[in-house]
Amino acid sequence: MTQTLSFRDRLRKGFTVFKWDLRNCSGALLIFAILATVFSAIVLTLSLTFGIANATEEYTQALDFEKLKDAVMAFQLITTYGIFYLNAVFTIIYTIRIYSYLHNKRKADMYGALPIGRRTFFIAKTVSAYLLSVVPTLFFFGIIAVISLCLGQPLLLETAGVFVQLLIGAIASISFYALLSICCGTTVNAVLAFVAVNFAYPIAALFIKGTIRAFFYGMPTNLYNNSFIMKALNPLAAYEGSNILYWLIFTASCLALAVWLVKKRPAECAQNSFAYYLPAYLVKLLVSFIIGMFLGTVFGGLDVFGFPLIGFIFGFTLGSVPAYLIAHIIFYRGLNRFPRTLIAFGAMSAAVFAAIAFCFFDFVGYTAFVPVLQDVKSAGVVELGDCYYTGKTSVWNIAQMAADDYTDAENIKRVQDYHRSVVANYRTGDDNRFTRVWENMFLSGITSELFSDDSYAVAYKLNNGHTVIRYYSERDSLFDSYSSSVDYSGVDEIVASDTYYRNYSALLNAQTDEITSIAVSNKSYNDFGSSYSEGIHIEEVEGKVSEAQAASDRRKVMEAYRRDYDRLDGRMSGYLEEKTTNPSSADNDLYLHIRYTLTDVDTGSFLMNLFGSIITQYDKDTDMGVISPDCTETIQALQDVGVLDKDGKIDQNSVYYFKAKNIYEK
Amino acid sequence: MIEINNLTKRFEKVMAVDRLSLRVPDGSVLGLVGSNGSGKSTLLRMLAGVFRADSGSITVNGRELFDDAAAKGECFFIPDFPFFYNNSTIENTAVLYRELYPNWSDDAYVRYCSVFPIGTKDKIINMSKGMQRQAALILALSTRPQYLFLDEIFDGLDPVVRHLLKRILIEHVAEHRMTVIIASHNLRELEDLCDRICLMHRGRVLMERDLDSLRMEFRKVQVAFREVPNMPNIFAGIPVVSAWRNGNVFNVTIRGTEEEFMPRLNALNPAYISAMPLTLEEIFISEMGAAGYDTNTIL
Repeated sequence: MTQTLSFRDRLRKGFTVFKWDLRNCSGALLIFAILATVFSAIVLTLSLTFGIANATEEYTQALDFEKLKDAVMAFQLITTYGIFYLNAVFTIIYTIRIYSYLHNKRKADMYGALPIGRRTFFIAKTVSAYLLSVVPTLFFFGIIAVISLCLGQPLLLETAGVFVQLLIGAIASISFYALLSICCGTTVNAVLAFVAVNFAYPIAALFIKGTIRAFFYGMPTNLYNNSFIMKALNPLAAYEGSNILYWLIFTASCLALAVWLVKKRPAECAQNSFAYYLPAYLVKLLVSFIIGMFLGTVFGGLDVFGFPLIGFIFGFTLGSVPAYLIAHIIFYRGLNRFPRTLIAFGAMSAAVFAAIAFCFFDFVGYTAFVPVLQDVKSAGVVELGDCYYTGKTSVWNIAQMAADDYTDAENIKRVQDYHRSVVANYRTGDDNRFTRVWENMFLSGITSELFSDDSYAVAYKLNNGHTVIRYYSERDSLFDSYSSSVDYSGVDEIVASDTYYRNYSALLNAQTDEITSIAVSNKSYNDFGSSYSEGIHIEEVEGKVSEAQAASDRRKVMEAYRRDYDRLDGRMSGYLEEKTTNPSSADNDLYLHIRYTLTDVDTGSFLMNLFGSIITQYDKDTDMGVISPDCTETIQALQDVGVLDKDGKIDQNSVYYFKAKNIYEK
Repeated sequence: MIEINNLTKRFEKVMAVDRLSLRVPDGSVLGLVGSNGSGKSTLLRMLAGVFRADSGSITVNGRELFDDAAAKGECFFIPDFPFFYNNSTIENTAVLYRELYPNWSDDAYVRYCSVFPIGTKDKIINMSKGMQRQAALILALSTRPQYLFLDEIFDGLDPVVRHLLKRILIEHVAEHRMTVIIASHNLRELEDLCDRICLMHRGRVLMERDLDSLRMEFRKVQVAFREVPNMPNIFAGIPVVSAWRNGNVFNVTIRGTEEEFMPRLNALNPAYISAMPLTLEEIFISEMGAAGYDTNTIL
């Protein structure tokens, strides 16, 4: 029969444990307080000294309080970050000390016999660790805020954000360490496991990402990028303050598992290697995996036995076996239980070899697959560097749109021709993909790929309902080769087509409230931001045109232009093509340039982030169209807003007309 | 009442406690004696709720002790090496126990602090082994436990403090019907304190008996002959536990009372005969020898 204590009794006892921990950590807390105080005082003194000197008028000696605010802001930020890092160091000290009761036989005797439930005791200890980590720092942040406020500078959002980062980082890291402490019999093992998992997991994830990207050529995914998977078992990453929901779930899971295990945990495990072997397996497998992958990809890339896969297997074995053995010896203080743990290692090695062989031989034919014409219902291709949706959503979503673009055999064949030539180029490239693993590990995004205008998304919708999507970037070295035989003719025709322009140009697809400026000029090239140009910019003019008025004018012009485009039914894109390819005759033509900013950006669904579809980057923010003489509604709208005169020429007396001073002019 | 039924505890390949059953009535003092590694400390840790039994049960007044905070509030365990933090003093450690143990008594705390000659504000970690034990005892007795589990408590205590401790324990047992279980190799001290003895070996109970009856059960007999009878087995028919000969003199340990064995010894016509009760240590050596654990077997 078990007599249960009331919640109030447990709370009281928990509070007693907290006070006991507070007493035992008082030395470390005092050192933290002294260091934080001295650091804050130094930063405040220096900030004010330099700030006052900078804010004092040279002649009148008057103090400019606005300038002084900059110094206070600097104090606020430097002190906040300084205390943030100081806190991280002291959190390690408190946490190790607080959970050491699980790793010392004499402490286990003392605490195990105390009249308090194991779970209550553990939870009280965990709350103590949280509070000791967070409260002193919050106290100092409060002092920083008060000092800043007294000097006329309210708390910056960034400072408050740092506290949220610290809070999330501290609770995630403490909870994970708490779980490892329960599983481990010694503090050394718990700390080693924490450090090893935190570092080995992201590297292992990078190797998997690099391998998949290297071998599955054309896969439109940037595995783990922007996703919590990359850092799933690395709670130190929680200090970055992103993926807050994930870290809260992670913290809750660690705690729930720890609370469940702590009651079952045999106290006699103190000072033995492990109470539960999960962390030991996790660390040993992760460490042996990354060392194995390191040597495997090196030897595979070097093609040491004349066949890359054999080189990989040799390298993986050469790296992983000693790594596993050494990790075992460190954790178990010898070879105790080694033979029985080899089963897990064997399973991991077999899984790796099978996965690499699967990638190497491409058993499913992923890289070479081009759907046959009869199976294709529709197809499309998008040049991502010339697409309004780039920066707004993922490659996956853009390609899904493109898959419906063309249903006619001619255009589908154009898409196929490009796709086939890329595949053929890949197959004849004699490329050892092991050499591509490392570069793909550290490829974090595709910003520069898109900037070069050389990335394409190819998509097919098949008759059976499936969608086939591929993504190719010319940054891949296969395209650099002189022997590259990629056929762009079909793609170029598609990109120049009216359908493509309608579907992907910003001029026709940007929301009118996204357009921040319209330039009307005689030049086909973009003159936004140029200090040498003159012309019309429909945007706010200080003292003359309000932003609301300018926005209204922009809306009128854009709506008129889009109506003209619809009315002229395809003739506009051809006209534009002609004018842009023959700029010498463009002097008397009018061009419409827009500058836009993206709103409603798709940050990615939970699943998209989970699987890491490539989030395209926002590099392009302008687009250009030609105003042909047939664009009557546009010309009328431009006249209405005072941009063109009655002859349809640029009105130099317009409120929107500007002439930037040429540096060569006198 | 403490009831232990079929208790088993194994540490990997080592069977520390093997199907052990025991009953300890309230208000008694049980001495746990046994060979090294016989499972005494493990048994105490299971009694205190530190270790969980693999099988079997321990109940204190009908309540399972393990993780029962309320039941543990009536117990106190002093291990063979009590733990204290580097900055622990009796005074600051008392703060923890005062709030966790429901029966904590400030009066008792003040009293024992004055009885045991150690400073309450001194760091315990800097004290001698005996003084650390005294510190643990002050804290333990201040919680006024109904069940006190002591592991090698006499180790390091000077004779005066040992005597003092025994007096205090006996006083508590008499006044509050406290139950004490002491594991110790110091059989001389147990002899003065315990009313029952449990002899353990290899995780099992060899015997568990009232100390007085145990002592009455064995006699150490010295028999001298002018001429040793020429018989293959001189003491045939007498329950001899062990015998040792020095010329014509025999030192014999016999199970039973004088009334039972004297007539048979007298029939051997000895020149001199004397019988006296065994000390606990002698009983221990004798019984352990019978269990195959004696110097001859070991050597």
